[in-house]
Amino acid sequence: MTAVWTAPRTWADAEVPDKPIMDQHIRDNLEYLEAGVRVYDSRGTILDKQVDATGVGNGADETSLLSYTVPANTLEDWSVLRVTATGRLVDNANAKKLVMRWGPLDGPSAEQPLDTGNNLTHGGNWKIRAWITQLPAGLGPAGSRQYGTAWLLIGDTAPAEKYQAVDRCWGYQDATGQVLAHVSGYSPAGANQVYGHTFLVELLRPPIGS
Amino acid sequence: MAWTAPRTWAVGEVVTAALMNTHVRDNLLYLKSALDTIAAGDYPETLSNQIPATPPSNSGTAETTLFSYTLPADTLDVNGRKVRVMVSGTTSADSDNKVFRLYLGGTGGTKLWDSGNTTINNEWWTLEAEINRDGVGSQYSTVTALWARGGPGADLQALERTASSEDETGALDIVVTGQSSVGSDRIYGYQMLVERAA
Repeated sequence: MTAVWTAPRTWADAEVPDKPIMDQHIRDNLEYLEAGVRVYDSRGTILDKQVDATGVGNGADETSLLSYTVPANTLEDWSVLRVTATGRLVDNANAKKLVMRWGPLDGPSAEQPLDTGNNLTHGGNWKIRAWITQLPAGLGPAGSRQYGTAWLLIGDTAPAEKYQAVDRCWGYQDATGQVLAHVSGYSPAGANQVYGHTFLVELLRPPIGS
Repeated sequence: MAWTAPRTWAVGEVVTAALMNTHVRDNLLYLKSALDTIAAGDYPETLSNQIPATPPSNSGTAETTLFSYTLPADTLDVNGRKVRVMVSGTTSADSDNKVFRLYLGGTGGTKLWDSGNTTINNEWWTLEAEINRDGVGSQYSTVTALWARGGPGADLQALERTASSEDETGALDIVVTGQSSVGSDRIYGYQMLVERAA
Protein backbone atom coordinates (compact mmCIF):
# COMPACT_ATOMS: atom_id res chain seq x y z
CA MET A 1 0.00 0.00 0.00
CA THR A 2 1.33 3.42 -0.89
CA ALA A 3 1.74 5.55 2.21
CA VAL A 4 -0.12 8.86 2.22
CA TRP A 5 1.31 11.99 3.75
CA THR A 6 -0.65 13.60 6.60
CA ALA A 7 0.30 16.96 8.10
CA PRO A 8 2.01 15.84 11.33
CA ARG A 9 -0.09 16.18 14.43
CA THR A 10 0.46 19.02 16.87
CA TRP A 11 0.57 17.24 20.19
CA ALA A 12 -1.02 18.41 23.44
CA ASP A 13 0.25 18.00 26.97
CA ALA A 14 -1.26 15.06 28.83
CA GLU A 15 -2.49 13.61 25.55
CA VAL A 16 -2.56 9.83 25.37
CA PRO A 17 -2.01 8.99 21.67
CA ASP A 18 -4.07 6.06 20.45
CA LYS A 19 -3.05 3.49 17.84
CA PRO A 20 -4.69 5.15 14.79
CA ILE A 21 -3.00 8.44 15.59
CA MET A 22 0.43 6.86 16.04
CA ASP A 23 0.01 4.82 12.84
CA GLN A 24 -1.17 7.72 10.73
CA HIS A 25 1.05 10.49 12.01
CA ILE A 26 4.28 8.62 12.65
CA ARG A 27 4.36 5.24 10.87
CA ASP A 28 2.63 6.32 7.65
CA ASN A 29 4.53 9.57 7.40
CA LEU A 30 7.85 7.80 7.90
CA GLU A 31 6.90 5.28 5.20
CA TYR A 32 5.95 8.11 2.86
CA LEU A 33 9.33 9.76 3.35
CA GLU A 34 11.22 6.50 2.91
CA ALA A 35 9.40 5.83 -0.38
CA GLY A 36 10.34 9.30 -1.57
CA VAL A 37 13.97 8.76 -0.74
CA ARG A 38 13.94 5.52 -2.74
CA VAL A 39 12.68 7.39 -5.81
CA TYR A 40 15.38 10.00 -5.35
CA ASP A 41 17.95 7.26 -5.02
CA SER A 42 17.04 6.01 -8.51
CA ARG A 43 18.10 9.31 -10.03
CA GLY A 44 21.47 10.32 -11.27
CA THR A 45 23.91 12.74 -9.84
CA ILE A 46 26.97 14.70 -10.88
CA LEU A 47 30.06 13.26 -9.23
CA ASP A 48 32.62 15.71 -10.52
CA LYS A 49 32.94 18.74 -12.75
CA GLN A 50 36.11 20.58 -13.69
CA VAL A 51 36.94 23.50 -15.93
CA ASP A 52 40.36 24.97 -16.66
CA ALA A 53 40.50 27.52 -19.47
CA THR A 54 44.30 27.37 -19.50
CA GLY A 55 44.23 23.61 -19.59
CA VAL A 56 46.42 20.84 -18.26
CA GLY A 57 49.10 19.79 -20.76
CA ASN A 58 50.82 16.45 -21.14
CA GLY A 59 54.30 15.93 -19.67
CA ALA A 60 57.22 14.01 -21.11
CA ASP A 61 55.41 10.74 -20.48
CA GLU A 62 51.77 9.87 -20.85
CA THR A 63 50.00 12.20 -18.45
CA SER A 64 46.61 12.18 -16.84
CA LEU A 65 45.00 15.41 -18.07
CA LEU A 66 41.63 15.07 -16.39
CA SER A 67 40.73 12.57 -13.71
CA TYR A 68 38.27 11.68 -10.98
CA THR A 69 38.52 8.98 -8.34
CA VAL A 70 35.20 7.20 -8.09
CA PRO A 71 34.66 6.28 -4.43
CA ALA A 72 34.52 2.63 -3.45
CA ASN A 73 31.12 0.97 -3.83
CA THR A 74 29.73 3.82 -5.96
CA LEU A 75 28.98 1.54 -8.89
CA GLU A 76 26.20 -0.97 -8.36
CA ASP A 77 24.94 -3.40 -11.00
CA TRP A 78 23.47 -1.60 -14.04
CA SER A 79 24.58 1.83 -12.89
CA VAL A 80 26.42 3.92 -15.45
CA LEU A 81 29.37 6.25 -15.14
CA ARG A 82 29.13 8.81 -17.94
CA VAL A 83 32.23 10.85 -18.65
CA THR A 84 32.37 13.93 -20.85
CA ALA A 85 35.78 15.49 -21.44
CA THR A 86 36.99 18.26 -23.75
CA GLY A 87 40.34 19.75 -24.61
CA ARG A 88 42.58 20.77 -27.49
CA LEU A 89 45.52 19.60 -29.55
CA VAL A 90 48.25 22.14 -30.25
CA ASP A 91 48.14 23.21 -33.89
CA ASN A 92 51.18 21.48 -35.35
CA ALA A 93 52.05 18.25 -37.16
CA ASN A 94 53.55 16.49 -34.15
CA ALA A 95 52.19 13.04 -33.35
CA LYS A 96 49.82 13.08 -30.37
CA LYS A 97 47.73 10.56 -28.48
CA LEU A 98 44.55 10.60 -26.40
CA VAL A 99 43.43 7.73 -24.17
CA MET A 100 40.26 7.28 -22.14
CA ARG A 101 40.68 4.89 -19.23
CA TRP A 102 39.22 3.70 -16.00
CA GLY A 103 41.36 1.96 -13.44
CA PRO A 104 45.04 2.78 -12.92
CA LEU A 105 46.89 5.18 -15.22
CA ASP A 106 49.14 2.49 -16.67
CA GLY A 107 49.46 -1.23 -16.68
CA PRO A 108 47.52 -4.18 -17.94
CA SER A 109 44.76 -3.76 -15.40
CA ALA A 110 43.62 -0.41 -16.80
CA GLU A 111 40.59 -0.48 -19.12
CA GLN A 112 40.81 1.46 -22.35
CA PRO A 113 37.58 1.98 -24.23
CA LEU A 114 39.38 4.48 -26.43
CA ASP A 115 43.02 4.86 -27.49
CA THR A 116 44.05 6.80 -30.60
CA GLY A 117 47.66 5.69 -30.58
CA ASN A 118 50.10 8.35 -31.82
CA ASN A 119 47.88 8.98 -34.80
CA LEU A 120 46.76 12.53 -34.16
CA THR A 121 48.95 14.74 -36.33
CA HIS A 122 47.12 18.04 -36.39
CA GLY A 123 45.54 20.62 -34.12
CA GLY A 124 41.94 21.07 -33.10
CA ASN A 125 39.48 20.81 -30.26
CA TRP A 126 38.56 17.37 -28.98
CA LYS A 127 35.59 15.91 -27.12
CA ILE A 128 35.19 12.47 -25.57
CA ARG A 129 31.99 10.84 -24.32
CA ALA A 130 32.20 7.55 -22.47
CA TRP A 131 29.67 5.27 -20.77
CA ILE A 132 30.85 2.66 -18.28
CA THR A 133 28.15 0.25 -17.12
CA GLN A 134 28.67 -1.91 -14.03
CA LEU A 135 27.50 -5.40 -14.98
CA PRO A 136 26.10 -8.24 -12.89
CA ALA A 137 28.62 -11.04 -12.48
CA GLY A 138 28.48 -13.55 -15.32
CA LEU A 139 26.94 -11.35 -18.01
CA GLY A 140 30.08 -10.55 -20.01
CA PRO A 141 33.31 -12.50 -20.57
CA ALA A 142 34.62 -14.44 -17.58
CA GLY A 143 35.56 -12.13 -14.75
CA SER A 144 34.33 -8.96 -16.43
CA ARG A 145 32.27 -6.52 -14.36
CA GLN A 146 32.01 -3.49 -16.64
CA TYR A 147 31.23 -2.62 -20.23
CA GLY A 148 32.53 0.64 -21.61
CA THR A 149 31.88 2.42 -24.87
CA ALA A 150 33.32 5.75 -25.94
CA TRP A 151 33.60 8.11 -28.86
CA LEU A 152 36.02 10.86 -29.73
CA LEU A 153 35.57 13.76 -32.09
CA ILE A 154 38.26 16.22 -33.10
CA GLY A 155 37.21 19.16 -35.14
CA ASP A 156 38.73 22.24 -36.63
CA THR A 157 37.80 24.67 -39.34
CA ALA A 158 39.75 22.64 -41.88
CA PRO A 159 37.91 19.44 -42.88
CA ALA A 160 41.25 17.69 -43.32
CA GLU A 161 41.88 18.09 -39.61
CA LYS A 162 38.82 16.18 -38.46
CA TYR A 163 39.26 12.89 -36.68
CA GLN A 164 36.91 10.50 -34.97
CA ALA A 165 36.94 7.22 -33.12
CA VAL A 166 34.35 4.86 -31.64
CA ASP A 167 35.36 1.92 -29.55
CA ARG A 168 34.46 -0.17 -26.51
CA CYS A 169 35.91 -2.70 -24.07
CA TRP A 170 35.02 -4.98 -21.22
CA GLY A 171 36.26 -4.02 -17.77
CA TYR A 172 37.59 -6.05 -14.88
CA GLN A 173 37.89 -3.42 -12.15
CA ASP A 174 36.84 -4.14 -8.57
CA ALA A 175 34.19 -1.49 -7.92
CA THR A 176 34.21 -2.26 -4.20
CA GLY A 177 37.45 -0.26 -4.24
CA GLN A 178 38.24 3.13 -5.71
CA VAL A 179 38.29 3.40 -9.50
CA LEU A 180 40.05 6.20 -11.35
CA ALA A 181 38.30 7.58 -14.44
CA HIS A 182 40.61 9.69 -16.52
CA VAL A 183 41.75 10.98 -19.89
CA SER A 184 45.45 11.03 -20.59
CA GLY A 185 47.58 12.61 -23.30
CA TYR A 186 50.98 11.97 -24.78
CA SER A 187 53.24 13.14 -27.56
CA PRO A 188 56.62 11.68 -28.58
CA ALA A 189 57.53 15.27 -29.47
CA GLY A 190 57.44 16.26 -25.81
CA ALA A 191 55.33 18.15 -23.31
CA ASN A 192 52.32 20.39 -23.79
CA GLN A 193 51.01 19.03 -27.07
CA VAL A 194 47.69 17.75 -25.71
CA TYR A 195 45.53 19.71 -23.27
CA GLY A 196 42.49 18.89 -21.18
CA HIS A 197 40.03 21.65 -20.31
CA THR A 198 36.73 20.34 -18.97
CA PHE A 199 35.58 17.18 -17.25
CA LEU A 200 32.13 16.05 -16.21
CA VAL A 201 31.48 12.74 -14.46
CA GLU A 202 27.84 11.70 -13.95
CA LEU A 203 26.43 8.69 -12.18
CA LEU A 204 23.23 7.20 -13.59
CA ARG A 205 21.55 4.89 -11.11
CA PRO A 206 20.15 1.52 -12.22
CA PRO A 207 16.65 1.51 -13.66
CA ILE A 208 14.01 0.90 -11.04
CA GLY A 209 13.32 -2.81 -10.82
CA SER A 210 16.60 -3.93 -12.39
CA MET B 1 11.43 24.62 9.66
CA ALA B 2 14.82 23.64 11.08
CA TRP B 3 16.09 20.13 11.71
CA THR B 4 16.62 19.15 15.35
CA ALA B 5 18.82 16.21 16.28
CA PRO B 6 16.23 13.62 17.31
CA ARG B 7 15.89 13.20 21.03
CA THR B 8 17.24 10.14 22.78
CA TRP B 9 14.35 9.21 25.04
CA ALA B 10 14.74 8.08 28.64
CA VAL B 11 12.98 5.22 30.37
CA GLY B 12 10.06 6.54 32.40
CA GLU B 13 10.22 9.94 30.74
CA VAL B 14 6.97 11.85 30.59
CA VAL B 15 6.78 13.08 27.00
CA THR B 16 5.59 16.63 26.74
CA ALA B 17 3.79 18.29 23.85
CA ALA B 18 6.79 20.55 23.29
CA LEU B 19 9.11 17.58 22.90
CA MET B 20 6.75 15.74 20.55
CA ASN B 21 6.23 18.82 18.44
CA THR B 22 9.94 19.59 18.15
CA HIS B 23 11.31 16.10 17.72
CA VAL B 24 8.51 14.40 15.83
CA ARG B 25 6.21 16.90 14.13
CA ASP B 26 8.83 19.49 13.14
CA ASN B 27 11.38 16.93 12.02
CA LEU B 28 8.78 15.19 9.85
CA LEU B 29 7.86 18.54 8.32
CA TYR B 30 11.53 19.29 7.69
CA LEU B 31 12.04 15.98 5.85
CA LYS B 32 8.84 16.41 3.83
CA SER B 33 9.90 19.88 2.73
CA ALA B 34 13.35 18.67 1.71
CA LEU B 35 11.85 15.78 -0.25
CA ASP B 36 9.44 18.12 -2.06
CA THR B 37 12.36 20.33 -3.08
CA ILE B 38 14.28 17.36 -4.43
CA ALA B 39 11.26 16.00 -6.27
CA ALA B 40 10.68 19.33 -8.00
CA GLY B 41 14.21 19.37 -9.42
CA ASP B 42 15.51 17.88 -12.65
CA TYR B 43 17.69 14.82 -12.35
CA PRO B 44 18.67 12.17 -14.86
CA GLU B 45 16.86 8.93 -14.28
CA THR B 46 17.75 5.70 -16.07
CA LEU B 47 14.71 4.11 -17.66
CA SER B 48 16.40 1.20 -19.40
CA ASN B 49 19.92 -0.15 -19.76
CA GLN B 50 20.18 -3.16 -22.07
CA ILE B 51 23.40 -5.10 -22.65
CA PRO B 52 22.30 -8.56 -23.87
CA ALA B 53 24.61 -11.49 -23.21
CA THR B 54 24.20 -12.36 -26.89
CA PRO B 55 24.23 -9.20 -29.00
CA PRO B 56 21.23 -9.05 -31.36
CA SER B 57 21.95 -8.83 -35.07
CA ASN B 58 20.03 -8.27 -38.30
CA SER B 59 18.23 -11.26 -39.77
CA GLY B 60 18.02 -11.88 -43.52
CA THR B 61 17.69 -8.79 -45.66
CA ALA B 62 14.69 -7.39 -43.78
CA GLU B 63 14.93 -4.54 -41.29
CA THR B 64 15.42 -6.16 -37.87
CA THR B 65 14.78 -4.73 -34.41
CA LEU B 66 18.01 -4.75 -32.40
CA PHE B 67 16.68 -2.90 -29.36
CA SER B 68 13.36 -1.52 -28.25
CA TYR B 69 12.02 0.24 -25.21
CA THR B 70 8.48 1.40 -24.55
CA LEU B 71 8.50 4.89 -23.13
CA PRO B 72 5.62 5.03 -20.64
CA ALA B 73 2.71 7.34 -21.45
CA ASP B 74 3.27 10.94 -20.37
CA THR B 75 7.01 10.55 -19.79
CA LEU B 76 7.30 13.67 -21.95
CA ASP B 77 4.81 15.41 -19.65
CA VAL B 78 5.89 19.05 -19.94
CA ASN B 79 7.56 21.19 -22.57
CA GLY B 80 11.32 20.94 -22.25
CA ARG B 81 11.22 17.40 -20.91
CA LYS B 82 14.06 15.45 -22.46
CA VAL B 83 14.69 11.75 -23.06
CA ARG B 84 18.20 10.72 -24.02
CA VAL B 85 19.03 7.50 -25.88
CA MET B 86 22.52 6.06 -26.35
CA VAL B 87 23.08 3.04 -28.57
CA SER B 88 26.27 1.28 -29.59
CA GLY B 89 27.12 -1.72 -31.68
CA THR B 90 29.48 -3.23 -34.18
CA THR B 91 29.56 -4.61 -37.70
CA SER B 92 30.75 -7.74 -39.45
CA ALA B 93 34.24 -7.94 -40.93
CA ASP B 94 33.36 -7.29 -44.57
CA SER B 95 32.47 -4.39 -46.83
CA ASP B 96 28.82 -5.37 -47.26
CA ASN B 97 26.12 -2.75 -46.93
CA LYS B 98 24.87 -2.05 -43.39
CA VAL B 99 22.23 0.36 -42.13
CA PHE B 100 21.24 1.35 -38.59
CA ARG B 101 18.18 3.42 -37.76
CA LEU B 102 16.40 4.92 -34.75
CA TYR B 103 12.64 5.44 -34.48
CA LEU B 104 10.30 7.20 -32.08
CA GLY B 105 6.82 5.69 -31.99
CA GLY B 106 7.91 2.35 -33.46
CA THR B 107 9.05 1.60 -36.99
CA GLY B 108 5.81 3.10 -38.23
CA GLY B 109 6.48 6.31 -36.34
CA THR B 110 9.12 8.99 -36.82
CA LYS B 111 12.56 8.03 -38.07
CA LEU B 112 15.08 10.04 -36.06
CA TRP B 113 18.16 8.56 -37.65
CA ASP B 114 19.03 6.62 -40.79
CA SER B 115 22.68 5.91 -41.48
CA GLY B 116 22.01 4.99 -45.09
CA ASN B 117 24.20 2.27 -46.53
CA THR B 118 27.57 2.15 -44.82
CA THR B 119 30.28 -0.34 -45.66
CA ILE B 120 32.24 -0.09 -42.43
CA ASN B 121 34.29 -3.21 -41.88
CA ASN B 122 34.55 -4.68 -38.37
CA GLU B 123 34.03 -1.27 -36.79
CA TRP B 124 32.01 0.18 -33.94
CA TRP B 125 29.09 2.54 -34.32
CA THR B 126 27.23 4.67 -31.83
CA LEU B 127 24.49 7.26 -31.70
CA GLU B 128 23.19 9.57 -29.01
CA ALA B 129 19.74 11.05 -29.37
CA GLU B 130 17.97 13.73 -27.36
CA ILE B 131 14.19 13.76 -27.71
CA ASN B 132 12.72 17.01 -26.43
CA ARG B 133 9.06 17.84 -26.00
CA ASP B 134 8.49 21.32 -27.48
CA GLY B 135 4.69 21.34 -27.44
CA VAL B 136 1.62 19.19 -26.98
CA GLY B 137 2.09 16.26 -29.37
CA SER B 138 5.28 17.82 -30.66
CA GLN B 139 8.92 16.81 -30.26
CA TYR B 140 12.24 18.14 -31.49
CA SER B 141 15.05 15.61 -31.56
CA THR B 142 18.77 15.73 -32.25
CA VAL B 143 21.07 12.82 -32.99
CA THR B 144 24.85 12.61 -32.88
CA ALA B 145 26.06 9.55 -34.76
CA LEU B 146 29.53 8.18 -35.42
CA TRP B 147 30.55 5.05 -37.17
CA ALA B 148 34.12 3.75 -37.41
CA ARG B 149 37.46 5.31 -36.75
CA GLY B 150 39.00 7.61 -39.25
CA GLY B 151 40.81 10.76 -40.08
CA PRO B 152 42.16 13.19 -40.67
CA GLY B 153 39.40 14.22 -43.00
CA ALA B 154 37.04 11.42 -42.00
CA ASP B 155 33.42 11.72 -43.03
CA LEU B 156 31.91 9.08 -40.80
CA GLN B 157 29.90 11.18 -38.40
CA ALA B 158 26.71 13.22 -38.59
CA LEU B 159 24.41 15.47 -36.62
CA GLU B 160 20.72 15.15 -37.35
CA ARG B 161 17.64 17.02 -36.19
CA THR B 162 14.04 15.98 -36.64
CA ALA B 163 10.66 17.44 -35.74
CA SER B 164 7.96 14.91 -34.93
CA SER B 165 4.35 14.86 -33.79
CA GLU B 166 3.96 11.68 -31.79
CA ASP B 167 1.24 11.47 -29.11
CA GLU B 168 3.17 11.56 -25.84
CA THR B 169 0.01 10.83 -23.82
CA GLY B 170 0.29 7.24 -25.03
CA ALA B 171 3.22 4.84 -24.75
CA LEU B 172 5.93 5.47 -27.36
CA ASP B 173 8.24 2.75 -28.64
CA ILE B 174 11.87 3.71 -29.11
CA VAL B 175 13.27 1.24 -31.62
CA VAL B 176 16.74 0.66 -33.07
CA THR B 177 16.99 -1.47 -36.19
CA GLY B 178 19.71 -2.97 -38.34
CA GLN B 179 19.53 -4.05 -41.95
CA SER B 180 21.76 -5.31 -44.72
CA SER B 181 20.87 -5.90 -48.35
CA VAL B 182 23.30 -8.84 -48.33
CA GLY B 183 22.04 -10.97 -45.46
CA SER B 184 22.10 -11.81 -41.78
CA ASP B 185 24.58 -10.87 -39.07
CA ARG B 186 26.08 -7.78 -40.70
CA ILE B 187 25.19 -5.35 -37.92
CA TYR B 188 25.07 -5.98 -34.18
CA GLY B 189 23.72 -4.07 -31.20
CA TYR B 190 25.63 -4.11 -27.92
CA GLN B 191 23.95 -1.55 -25.69
CA MET B 192 20.93 0.72 -25.46
CA LEU B 193 20.64 3.17 -22.58
CA VAL B 194 17.48 5.28 -22.16
CA GLU B 195 17.24 8.03 -19.58
CA ARG B 196 14.80 10.72 -18.66
CA ALA B 197 17.32 13.53 -18.71
CA ALA B 198 15.33 16.51 -17.44
